Amino acid sequence: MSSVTASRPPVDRVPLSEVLREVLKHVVMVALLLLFLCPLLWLLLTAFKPYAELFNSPPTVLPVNGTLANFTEGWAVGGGKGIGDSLIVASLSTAICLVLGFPAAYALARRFPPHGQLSFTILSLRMMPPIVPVIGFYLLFQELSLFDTYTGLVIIYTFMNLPLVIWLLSEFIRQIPKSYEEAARIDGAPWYRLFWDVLLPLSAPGVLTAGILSMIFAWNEFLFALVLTGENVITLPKALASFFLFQQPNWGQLGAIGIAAVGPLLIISYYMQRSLIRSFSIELGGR
Amino acid sequence: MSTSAVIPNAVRSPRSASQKRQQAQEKRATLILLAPALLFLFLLSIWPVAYLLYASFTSYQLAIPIPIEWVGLGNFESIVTNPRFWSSLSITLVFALMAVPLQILVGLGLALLLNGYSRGREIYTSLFLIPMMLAPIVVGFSWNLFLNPIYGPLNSVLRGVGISPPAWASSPEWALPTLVLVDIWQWTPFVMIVLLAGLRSIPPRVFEAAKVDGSNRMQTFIHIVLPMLVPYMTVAFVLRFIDSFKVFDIIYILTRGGPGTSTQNLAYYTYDLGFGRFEFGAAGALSIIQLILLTFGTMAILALVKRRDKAPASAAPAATHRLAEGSAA
Repeated sequence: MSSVTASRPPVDRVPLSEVLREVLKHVVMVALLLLFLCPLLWLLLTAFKPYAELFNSPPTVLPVNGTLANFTEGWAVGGGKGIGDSLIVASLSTAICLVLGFPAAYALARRFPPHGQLSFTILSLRMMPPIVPVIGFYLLFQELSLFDTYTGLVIIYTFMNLPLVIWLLSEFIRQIPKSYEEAARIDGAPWYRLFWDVLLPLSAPGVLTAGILSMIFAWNEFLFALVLTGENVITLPKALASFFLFQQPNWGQLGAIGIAAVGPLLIISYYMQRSLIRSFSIELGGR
Repeated sequence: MSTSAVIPNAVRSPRSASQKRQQAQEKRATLILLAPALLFLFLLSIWPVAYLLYASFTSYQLAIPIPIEWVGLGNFESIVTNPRFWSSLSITLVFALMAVPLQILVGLGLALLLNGYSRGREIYTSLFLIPMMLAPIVVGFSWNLFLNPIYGPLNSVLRGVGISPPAWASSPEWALPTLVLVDIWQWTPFVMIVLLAGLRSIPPRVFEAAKVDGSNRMQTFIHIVLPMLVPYMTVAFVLRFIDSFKVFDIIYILTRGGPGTSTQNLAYYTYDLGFGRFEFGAAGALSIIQLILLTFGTMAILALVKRRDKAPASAAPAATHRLAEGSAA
């Protein structure tokens, strides 16, 4: 035993200081993160404060009489409608994007050169600021009586996300070896079987990524919703913005709705950072 | 591009007539697959632009029921001669030129920091990514609350340490920097993740080689890491620059273009013309002007990027597109 301990200290010491360094590193990082996410954390705390505590000056950090009332009230004063409408519009437009986008992406991936003119044209639609077409859309929607309808907003969000979905999926399909399709064709599978039984399962992760991104963008979109809808369709960002019509918005309710709206995104962000890093390194760092 | 040519002839019919028929069939299939999506995109980009053009050449005003008259280039003239157009253009550019370089700088710092973590890197990265996933509306009002001069936490902390805080969004000098700060907060994570991907793509043996050659950490950073990150930084810069023309939501929540017109960028000015004053003719003309400016601007930037890194990363413009997936949230 003693002979072992005699030879051990140098081996043992290094890990100890290493451990300390490691702990310190993580303490620094956590502190930095807390500082960085401060505005959001403050909103989170505010969501639990009763109305009387909202306008304290100087403000109290932790809610003194913590309450959940903001969540139920926030749901009642527009949060529920906002979440519902956003869910409807975001999921419908995403579904249409995938249905329209997948075949197009397949054709683009298999029949056209990568990064060619056609894909560039499709994607450049995405670069355009929404303010540019919005007046045209407004006039068009008045003409077709699509103003303030779910259909109208679904069409707009499909238009907004389709270029990206096509692009992402076609990049993904390009990575799938052609031999699968060829094997299926040799077996005499009809085209719909090829799509449904062969390609779709293989590109499921790509479809998931494209679908999630398209959901997020539709969920977060504000300008089109502001201009192209009125009293009938009120998406979440619009519901939130309407709080600012008053001089002193009820920050508690606002915070509660806001937190409820972004909660699911936190989980998604963990999934996304992996696939984002991977796709960025593939794209730029030579395959 | 004949894609099915790889299929062994022994299995398919070897006769060229049937191959030709096969090819024609493939072509038709391509068309059928592409048509719905392309038709949809085509119609929805042409139709509004047609309306825009119509509005921009007429005296279209929504609120006033005057007969709509053809005014030719009158709307364009009144936009270009209006000092508010030029001030909003310069505000847009100043905003981009303040926000984007700072995002690159801070993003680089964060990426380097995160890259030094072997344990917990993924979880830290995803926590840093949160702001860019949020709706800009939520970002806007979080900061509106955070910076509130009376009951906001930041100002009471600043007062606590003896600094007299500015009025942030409601002061004419500070309003634009405040918006820049919010934009940096939301979009630095995007730059960070692009650069993190760049750092991850540098093979470890590069660092080992540098170490063997006796290069210290600073030298390694300047001569090896930085040059290898340049394409990534270019892409991040281009995308953020183009995206900064879209900024609208945080202005709507934080300043409404004010005080005065000090934070009125092109997007907000267009909105204000169209839906604040219902001058659709002028707003349409302004939209068309923006469309032209952006088309040429983007083309110029992409041409520059293409020329710059022609050699190894010929994928650069493509990468620009690819990266758009993370941007524009």
